[in-house]
Amino acid sequence: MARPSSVTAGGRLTAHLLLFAFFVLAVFPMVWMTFTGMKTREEFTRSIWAPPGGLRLDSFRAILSEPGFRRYYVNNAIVTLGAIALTLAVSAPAAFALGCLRFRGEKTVSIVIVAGLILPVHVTLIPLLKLLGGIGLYDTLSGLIMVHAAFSIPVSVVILRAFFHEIPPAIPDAARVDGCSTIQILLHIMLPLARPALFTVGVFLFVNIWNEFVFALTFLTSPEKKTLPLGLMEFAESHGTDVVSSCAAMTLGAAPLMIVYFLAQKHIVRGLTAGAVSG
Amino acid sequence: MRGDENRIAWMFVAPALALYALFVMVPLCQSFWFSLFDWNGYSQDMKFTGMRNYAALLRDGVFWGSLWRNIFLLAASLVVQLPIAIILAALLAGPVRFARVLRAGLFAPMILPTVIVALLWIFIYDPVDGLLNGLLGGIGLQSLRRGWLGEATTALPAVTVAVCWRYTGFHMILFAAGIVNIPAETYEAAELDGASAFARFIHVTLPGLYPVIRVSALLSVVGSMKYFDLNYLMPSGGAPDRATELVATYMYREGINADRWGYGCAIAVALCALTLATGGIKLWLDRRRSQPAGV
Repeated sequence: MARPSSVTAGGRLTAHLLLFAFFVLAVFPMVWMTFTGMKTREEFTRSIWAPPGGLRLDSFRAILSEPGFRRYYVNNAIVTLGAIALTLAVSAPAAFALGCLRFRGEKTVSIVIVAGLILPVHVTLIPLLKLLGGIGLYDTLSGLIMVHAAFSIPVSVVILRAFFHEIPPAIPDAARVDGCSTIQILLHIMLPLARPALFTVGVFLFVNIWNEFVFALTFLTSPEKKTLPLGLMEFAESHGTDVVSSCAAMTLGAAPLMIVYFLAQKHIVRGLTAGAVSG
Repeated sequence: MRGDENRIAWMFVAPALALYALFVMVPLCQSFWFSLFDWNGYSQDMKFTGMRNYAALLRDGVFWGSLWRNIFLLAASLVVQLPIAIILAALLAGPVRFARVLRAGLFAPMILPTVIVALLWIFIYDPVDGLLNGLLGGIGLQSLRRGWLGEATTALPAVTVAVCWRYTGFHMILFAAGIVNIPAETYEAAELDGASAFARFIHVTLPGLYPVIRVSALLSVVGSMKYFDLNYLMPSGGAPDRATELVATYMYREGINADRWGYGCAIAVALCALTLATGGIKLWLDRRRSQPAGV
């Protein structure tokens, strides 16, 4: 990444100032949220700007001791992991078939699935509401998992198919000569090779489904079923004027993904951009 | 062997196709079908009204107002987000200290759930102890203080700023990847010709980024047409006159919240058509522009 460096000192200073200004703009609200969560109510009333008097975690502890709030994390984890597992389980074989096998109707299947990339999800909300009600999956985590998985199929298939397509045909062919069935080729040869692509898809789905709002808002109603984003909304509504508690809850809500982001920044960024650009 | 491969391939595709058909394709088609009825969702009685919902939609001022706000959001993404993202990416590619930290911070808003983004910006815009009003008061601009989300004139720009805040870092990353792909020799040649850093940005970086700009613009165009989250979440009952209503949020309020399923589906179909049409127009413009130039 050796970019030419004939930049004047003034230019370099301007570049740093501009970047720093935008950096502060991007990060400050999140820092403010975390700091506000650590303040006492009196501190907050005295000044909304001043940093907290110390590393006070009382508000966080109070929120985490609510079983209702902990439930949001559990629900969110169930929905996110369940949807990723289901998506990959159905998308990987489909992507393999579309990328490496030849069959009648291949083009049609491919067009139908790729069309899903540009479809606004909101178009389907009303019929989905009726459908989920009809099959008894309204207000259930499994219903939400299936909806998420179904809408994740296009991105996953497109990314995985491109990856399978790049694998030299000599590899599966050799396995076939050795007597492997197509299913064995998929399970024992192609899937292990596709680990990086599966990981990229997984990361993309994880961030999106973990943070997702509209489907959860539409298809869940019971308080004990709510996912983290819905729970946070509920918490903020019921604590209307208590900014300190709301900020503590928001910080706790953002924390899991932020921690993962700081540990594996490269993977998260790559996963998010790969997913969005293919879609 | 052929027939065998055919059968196995279909076996592999079937589960994905079934799930996708049941929860995506069938509901999509049902949206078209339901839009032909006057129906509240609960009652058995679906009154077939043909194109009447669409006729009503064409005369619906709220719908046109919402569409206009989508276009405002689209313009803001293209005019605010993309240029800032390009400049940030170009600056980050230069000799900058702490480039990794800066990049990580600039992208971080993308990792937040939209619910948290909405709540944060509600605090920022709060009429009493909001951060923005506090800042304005602090620098002697008391006269500019206002209830940003509660006034019809400022609500939409205020929400749009929050939208830009969340997504600019994402486009920046796309552009940063694009800049890495510009051959270093092009920069070296420009430098040998005595081009300043600014001239190199204009004559090497921008043209080199053209393909990425296209992708970014397409994502912005399609994304703005179907946008929902912050415009739905942020007014939280505050903004008057549907000041931040978009087509998707209008569909939600009519169809889901007010249980006018038939009319809601008609708005949904219009949303689908608008998204596909703007995406299509964008691609068509790209193709037309690039053909003579042979890019």
